[in-house]
Amino acid sequence: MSLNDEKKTPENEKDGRVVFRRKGFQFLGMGLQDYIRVFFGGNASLAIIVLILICLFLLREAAMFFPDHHQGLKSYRQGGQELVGYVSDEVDAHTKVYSSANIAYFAEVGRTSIHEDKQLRAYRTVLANVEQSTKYTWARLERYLDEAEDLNDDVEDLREDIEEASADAEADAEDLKKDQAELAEIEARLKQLEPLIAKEREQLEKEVQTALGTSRVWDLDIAARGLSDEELSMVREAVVFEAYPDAEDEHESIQNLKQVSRDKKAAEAERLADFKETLNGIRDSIRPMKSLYGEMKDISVANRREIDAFSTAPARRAALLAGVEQTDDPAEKERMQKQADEVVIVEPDYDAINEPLYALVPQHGELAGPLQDEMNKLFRQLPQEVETKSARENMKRAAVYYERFDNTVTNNRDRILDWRHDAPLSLWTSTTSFMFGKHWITNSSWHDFYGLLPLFTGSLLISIIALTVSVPFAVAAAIYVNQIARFKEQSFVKPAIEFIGAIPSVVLGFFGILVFGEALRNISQLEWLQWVPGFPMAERLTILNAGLLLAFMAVPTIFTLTEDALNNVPAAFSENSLALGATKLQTVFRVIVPTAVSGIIAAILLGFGRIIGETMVVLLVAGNKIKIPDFTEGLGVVAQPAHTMTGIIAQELGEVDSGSLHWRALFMVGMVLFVISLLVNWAAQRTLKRLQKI
Amino acid sequence: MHDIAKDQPVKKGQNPFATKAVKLKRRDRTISVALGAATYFILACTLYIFADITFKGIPVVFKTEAPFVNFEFFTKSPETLMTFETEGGETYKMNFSEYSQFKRDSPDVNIVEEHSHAYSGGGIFGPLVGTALLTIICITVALFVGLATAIFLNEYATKGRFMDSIRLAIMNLAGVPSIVFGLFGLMFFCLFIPVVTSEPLERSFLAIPLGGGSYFSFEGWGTCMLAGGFTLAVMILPVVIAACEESLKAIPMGFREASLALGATKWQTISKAVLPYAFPGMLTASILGITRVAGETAPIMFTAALAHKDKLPWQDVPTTPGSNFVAQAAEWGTGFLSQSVQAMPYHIYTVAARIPQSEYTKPMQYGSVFVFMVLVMTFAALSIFLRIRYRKKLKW
Amino acid sequence: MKTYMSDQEDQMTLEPQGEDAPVQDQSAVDALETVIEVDHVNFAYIPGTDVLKDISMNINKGEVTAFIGPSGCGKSTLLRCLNRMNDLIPKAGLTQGEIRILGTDIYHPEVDVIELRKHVGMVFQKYNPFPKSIYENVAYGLRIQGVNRKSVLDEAVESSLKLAGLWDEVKDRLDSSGLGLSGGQQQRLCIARTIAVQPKIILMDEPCSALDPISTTIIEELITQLKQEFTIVIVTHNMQQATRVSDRTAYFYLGELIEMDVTTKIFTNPSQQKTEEYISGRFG
Repeated sequence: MSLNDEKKTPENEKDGRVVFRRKGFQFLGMGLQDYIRVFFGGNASLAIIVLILICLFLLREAAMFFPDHHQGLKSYRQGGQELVGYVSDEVDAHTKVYSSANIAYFAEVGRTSIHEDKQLRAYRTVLANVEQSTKYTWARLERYLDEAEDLNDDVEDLREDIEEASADAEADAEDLKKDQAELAEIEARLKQLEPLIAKEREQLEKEVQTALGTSRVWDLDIAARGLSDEELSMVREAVVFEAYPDAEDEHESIQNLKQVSRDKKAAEAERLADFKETLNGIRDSIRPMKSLYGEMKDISVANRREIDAFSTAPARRAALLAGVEQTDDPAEKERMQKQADEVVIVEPDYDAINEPLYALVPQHGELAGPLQDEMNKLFRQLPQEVETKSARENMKRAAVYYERFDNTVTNNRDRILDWRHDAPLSLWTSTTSFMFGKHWITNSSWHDFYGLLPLFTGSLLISIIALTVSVPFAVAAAIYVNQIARFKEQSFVKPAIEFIGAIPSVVLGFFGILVFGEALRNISQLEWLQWVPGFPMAERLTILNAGLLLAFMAVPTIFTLTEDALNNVPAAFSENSLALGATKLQTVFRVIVPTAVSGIIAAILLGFGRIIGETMVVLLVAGNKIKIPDFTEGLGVVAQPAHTMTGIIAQELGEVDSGSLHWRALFMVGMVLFVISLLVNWAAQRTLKRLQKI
Repeated sequence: MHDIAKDQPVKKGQNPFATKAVKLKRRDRTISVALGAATYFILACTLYIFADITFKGIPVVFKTEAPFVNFEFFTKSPETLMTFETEGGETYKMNFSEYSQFKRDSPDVNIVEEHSHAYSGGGIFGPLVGTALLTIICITVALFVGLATAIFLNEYATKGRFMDSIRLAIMNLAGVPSIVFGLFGLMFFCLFIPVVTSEPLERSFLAIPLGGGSYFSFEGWGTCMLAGGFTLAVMILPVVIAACEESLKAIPMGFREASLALGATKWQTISKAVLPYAFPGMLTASILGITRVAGETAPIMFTAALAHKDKLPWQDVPTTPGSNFVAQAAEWGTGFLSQSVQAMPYHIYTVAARIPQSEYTKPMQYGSVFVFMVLVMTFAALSIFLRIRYRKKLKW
Repeated sequence: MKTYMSDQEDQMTLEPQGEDAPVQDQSAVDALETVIEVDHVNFAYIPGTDVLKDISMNINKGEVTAFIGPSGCGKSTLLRCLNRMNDLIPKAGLTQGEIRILGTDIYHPEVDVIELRKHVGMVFQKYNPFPKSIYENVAYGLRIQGVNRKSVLDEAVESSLKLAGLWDEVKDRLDSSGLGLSGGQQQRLCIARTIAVQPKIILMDEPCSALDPISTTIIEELITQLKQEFTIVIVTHNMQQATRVSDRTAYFYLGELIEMDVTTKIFTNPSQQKTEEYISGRFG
């Protein structure tokens, strides 16, 4: 080490009395120790530097996102797509009304044939299972059977030929011989096939029986609920019958069932003829509007193409010119030069291209009023009283959608009249259209929307579910471990729960996709759980599934921090309380928990931060449907799939060009996540500080 | 003073301390049971997940006959699995490489039905290697920076604004979602960080000529294990710093004072009287880091990992023949570090979500998850065990 | 918890000394009603190492009894035995003898420790109001007994605070946090909290040792007033305090009760050599 090497500097010699003078390496007025200190300090400031860099890079992309996004929205307006979008909203709203009512109608029609349909459904479920597990054997057997059949036909033909030939003395003996030889060959092959077919048949039978036995209990259970034993055995019989390739037609009983079901439905349909007629009226009422919409859409798409061609023209031209520079082949050079010259950079005449759209606006006005009136009339004609649960729910939904449709049309009337393609577009609008935009649509032939709302709602809903489930469990466990459990129990439960925190999220996601999703869906179909909103669930990958898994993930975070907070409550509090004659739990809930409450809140906040930033579980399990969940179903909204902010980045970033608008939009989402995480952290720190003051 | 025998019951009505609030007691007991039930419910869920994966994973990894371990699963990289049926009615199931061989060897076999299952054949050697490499790079970097930071915070820094802001930054860094680290790693390590190169890429932000035909170019390392490892290192920095600091704090002040009193410099004190005793803490820190890093998927998705890669990272690293050994070694090293890799978590994501599910994909799925979980959980258990032991020993 | 752990450590290695039985003022016992009888009690934190050895004493109603002695002599331990606060320590317990309060063996299985503590309140060395309002602090003991009627609580809070001499100081800010009071006020708040439950006996574990002299004086005056209504047992390090507030004093040494008598007698004319050594300051 060089710092102990004493070097006599001239100064030292001059002033020998300074005994405690600093010695050794010196540079720019700082000694080695100072440099070591700076080195460590530099490493320590890395945390700050990284945070600043994250901010910088995210901000850079964000800064570049908004101008591009603004340009995109401007093109959307200049090309008239915005106007057409209003009309499209009306058409979409109408479609929703119709389809809900339509579902209700079919539920009503099937009202009397429920039992038959149930049997048919059980039949189809079991059959699907059996077919799935026998498909290879089935295919082989079928092939053999086909071959045997063909060969048998051949044998018959040959026999006939031979008979004819032997009857006809003039026939060529040679041919006869050949025929006989062929016959023998075919018969040999047939003989060969026989054991094969028998073997496959045996195999198939075995497989069918196993499949019937192991036909997944859940599936069968749900499909066959409410069926009698006789009906079930009939279903099984039909399945076995259908499971062999030689079954020509469906089992008689199934055919009967289908017939009965059809008849009953027909009778119901007759009863509900008015309903159907109204439905058809609704369906037809939108036709004129739809065709107007089609017309307008074509115009605006063409407009947009022109605008896009203009805005990308300089870039294309530059690329071609760069190509000219680089290539050596003169012919190629000339060709590219020509192409580059052909690229026209002429701004489209926005007034002119929007002219046809403006021409159609009055037509819309003429259609909208009558459409509203007619819908009003037709909607009132829909039956108010329906029998089945599904129909009731869907009618309720239809009513909500009708309300929305009516509002959309009313609101749009002025908007469409006032719409101007050259209305100024403020930067604020382009910001809000990102932050509060309701659509995230990319790679679209119409227009790419980058609205955060669907992703944000998804993330938030999942986090809320996760928190509502995990907080009670984690806090209860923390209280139990900290206050009630014996020491031995403590030293086992605590590491075990901390252990959960080490489970990689991708493993949990995997579990969710392969095991939990299916189990959850099956549980949701249990009869006695039907009161739960959203049950039965149609999907496997839903908000609920992701929420529950994330709840599990958040438990260790919340548990550990809550336990710490409880631990920090001075022992004297509990002693004082006990000395006043309080029971253990009175002490816990009246003194210890209230004292630790800010620590618990901080724990919950940090748990929230962990949940909302989690990627893999939601990417795998949330269903990845980019749409604001439909809140008309109340709490049942949790049974829908959704997409999340973290999930969208993970899913799409790998597939977009770097530097494109889409890429930058994803960075914007990352920025929002980053800000949320900082806010959550900040809030947690603040609450913790309050705890320390006590 | 009168003696009452101990076992003689106190007469009812005379005992002023007899239980009065029976209802209250019952409520207390009910609540206690409920709290315990919640605790054990969490543990039961954990157990169920482990059991499910273990039972389905064991048949893939182990065999019933000698040598009992499915070595192929550990020594091959993921491949496409082919299932097909020949005209003779025989069914086959083989990896794609074997399948091509089979077709070459017996060109006259007529294949009737053929299915391919992506990523379902072969083994998990590639992903295992990739994860190991990423983890090693990450831990090396994180431990270096983390330890240095901890030393600064614990040995050098005095209370003040600088230290406060460092602590604040570390705390906030700990809360940043992993996907945001992925974005940062992509922008910084893959696309921005300066490298010395002879021909800067087109995407380079800025290329400063150094003379001699080489440039100092801000173009990043590209998608490679180095970028992935560094991204992960940045992510686990707060964890590593906390663990290192804890281990430094555990060393009694007396050690330092004694050393300083003997005339040692600050650095001598740290290197001779502090660091040697911090070793167990550093071990815990790195194991804790490994546990967190090995399972992370989001940060390596865009920075290092590939779903499919034929070659292992050390195969086909380009070197210039003829140059001297040191130059070749350096070139090989750089080339090696700039390889992209497969990684276990990304592989699991791929087989779980990006391929169609069938009965043939299950073994690969459960096998991978089982092996991966056993690995990560071993490290996790080790870290928890070490921490408990270390805390016990902490009272010097 | 740490406070009595140290008591125990000091005690463990030492052998019992002296077989002299404590001398009692027989006439006083006859005249007064006994509320606490300690009957040949041995106590251990860890089975096998007794920290209290064969203690017997009677504590009379309406008196202030002071426990004095050097650190680790077992006086706090005995105090905590009286309302079974030692139950909180696993494995700790009486190994011999019994303690009777109001004639009932308090370690009997039929005794509900919660009920016991309602009768035998305790004030600790370190004042520790809960992080709640002053009002809620005093009302706490009643609330946990299920009393929620506002009028009852109001009355109890007021009377307890008045009794503790705190009412005039805090009546305008009952809703502010108990932690905002001064140290002496906080300790009086704790006393008010204890007497709100209306215990028969109040145990005080060095209630003034964390307070300044002025607050100490106030608390001492309070103790003399409280003895009208409560039986008080006080552990103190401060011998002057014992002479000022107590009627009787018990001197402990190494887990044994050396002497117990009327305070004036102990301090003027102790019958035991050890007591004299201690009070004259030769050790301790």
